[in-house]
This record gives sequence, structure tokens and C-alpha cells, in this order.
Amino acid sequence: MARVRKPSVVLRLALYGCPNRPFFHIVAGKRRAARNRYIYEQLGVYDPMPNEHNEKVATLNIERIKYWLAHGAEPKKSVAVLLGLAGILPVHPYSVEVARRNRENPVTDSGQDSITEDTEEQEE
Amino acid sequence: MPAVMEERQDSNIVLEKRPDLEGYSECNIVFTDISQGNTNRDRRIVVREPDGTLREGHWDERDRMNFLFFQREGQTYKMSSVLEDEHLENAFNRNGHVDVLDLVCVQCEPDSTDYIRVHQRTYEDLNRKRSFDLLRSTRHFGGMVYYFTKEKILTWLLVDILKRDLISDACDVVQLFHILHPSSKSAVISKQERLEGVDLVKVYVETEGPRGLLQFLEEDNKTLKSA
Repeated sequence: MARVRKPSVVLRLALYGCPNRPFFHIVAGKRRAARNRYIYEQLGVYDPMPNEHNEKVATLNIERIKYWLAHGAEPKKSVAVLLGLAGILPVHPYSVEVARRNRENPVTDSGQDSITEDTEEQEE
Repeated sequence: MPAVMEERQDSNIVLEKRPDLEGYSECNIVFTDISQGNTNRDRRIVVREPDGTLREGHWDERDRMNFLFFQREGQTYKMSSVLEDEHLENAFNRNGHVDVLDLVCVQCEPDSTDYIRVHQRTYEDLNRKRSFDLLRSTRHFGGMVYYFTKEKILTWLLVDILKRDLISDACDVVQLFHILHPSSKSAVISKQERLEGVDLVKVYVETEGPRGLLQFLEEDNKTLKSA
């Protein structure tokens, strides 16, 4: 049986910012490279800390995101959740699960954020 | 001439309702489309609320995002306090009408509440002080004339124009009045009799202006001519 290859391009969050102040770029990058390396294109930004109007700000270059998805890029979980919330992709099941957990045992301090960087799976 | 527009209303378009996403985040998440080729007015900006609904952004959110990512030169994050009602008087006392209008043109969208309010206050102040000459030969003069014509408070502007012997300008103003208010008495008369030139102004002052103004103007003209 032929071995199915994973796409070599992924959409992921690249961590920028400084200590205690995370800030992410949404990028198309090489799967096997490290998080902030071999970035083909920046597709937007995501600011996980609420601003003074109590909103998190994200920008998406939807045209280019469509391009990369059409070329077989795989959105990692964090980006897939964001795209689901923005209404571009179907809502990611993980975000529904996080919402259920948050409802069941609400956290008082607002540090509990569901979208974190992809530190997991450096597979293959 | 800066744009004159109707005041905008918030659109309450709900794109998606997902009760299962309730509690995902404690704050709104604002998504801005930064694809090229969009203008500030037609850019897609959507908001995911804490209760899971996805809706179109309101105008204040849109303005904030457009400022963050597509800033105009001279625009600031917070509106300058000189554009607030209590400080406008200060600027007017120093004859800063043009500067105020220039600032609000950069700062606000032409259909925002603040834009319309500041323009209105400025024009009313100019009318009160009869200092129309401040705006003459700037881009704001047309907007001022349009406002006065729309609100039917043309009298002092016409007097000012006639005193400067700009008869053709006065005719244009009266013609604009006839376009904006086609059912007014002077418009009907001048259409019936096919008036042109100075007669237009005369008919307008007779029918719409305060009593005695025509006489006053004619006497004034005589004195001007004899001098």
C-alpha cells in the first residue's frame, strides 16, 4: 500500500512578541522546520491578549489563505480553530470541546486561553 | 469638496449562531480581512461574540480596525479633544474653522456621527458670526453653501455674496436652492417666468428672504455705486 504523504506546507501560528506578551503571526511555513523558520508567507496576525475594548484582534489575508489551502496546505489546530471562528472553515471540534469545558467549570481569571502555539507534534 | 453623506446605521447582520461555542472566549474576537484590493468601506470585518454568534462588525469596531491596520496620515487612535463639543468653541474663537474641518476630514469617515456633527457646528458658528470669508477659496466652501441651502438659512450668505458684487455666484446659489427645494415658491415662479441672472436673486429675496431685505439691498447697491 502506497504511503500517504502529509502536505509539506502548513498554516501555523509563529510566536513573536516578548516575555509575558505573546503575539502571533499566521504564516504558511514548511512542516518539518521549526515554528518560526522557513516561512513562505505571512497571512495575518493574531493578538491573544484582549485590548481595552475587551476584544481579541485577528487579521486574515483570506485571498492568500484560500490559495494555500487550495494548494494542499494543512492548517494546524490553532489556525484551524481561528479559521473556524472566523467562519471561513467549518467550526473546529476542538473549539466546541473547549467551550463545553469552559461552561462546565468556568475560570475566573482570564488567562485561560484555548489557542496556544503548536508545540506538539513534530512528527515524521 | 469633502463628501456629504447620510448618517450611517449599524447593521445587525448575524452570519451564524452557534450555541455550542458559548463560553469559548470571554471577549469578542474581531477578524479583519486584509486581502488586497479592498477599501476601508467594503472590507470584511466580522466579530465572534462570547455567546457564539458571528456577526458583521459595528461601525466603531470597523473604524478601530481600519485605523489599526490601514491608517491614514494624520489620523490618531483617539479623536482629538478639540473636536468635542465643549472645546469646539475655543477653536472657533481663534478663527480655526478651516483647521477643524481639515482635521475632522482626516479623522472620521464622512458618514460618521462626529463628522456630521462637527461640520454642522462649524457652519452654524460661521453663520452666527457672518464670517463666511474664512472658508472662501478653501475646499469647504461648497459644503457650507450646500448646508445653508438645505437648511434654508441662506439670507446672510447671500448678503455677504452680494456685498462683494459676486452676482453670478449669488445666481448659482439660488439655482442650487431651486434644485434642492423644487416645490418652494421662488422655484415655481422662476420656472414659470424662465428667469435668469439677477432676476433669480430678486425673486428669491422677495419670496423667501425676510421682509425689507430687497429694499435694503437695492439701497445698499445705490450707495455702493455712487461711492
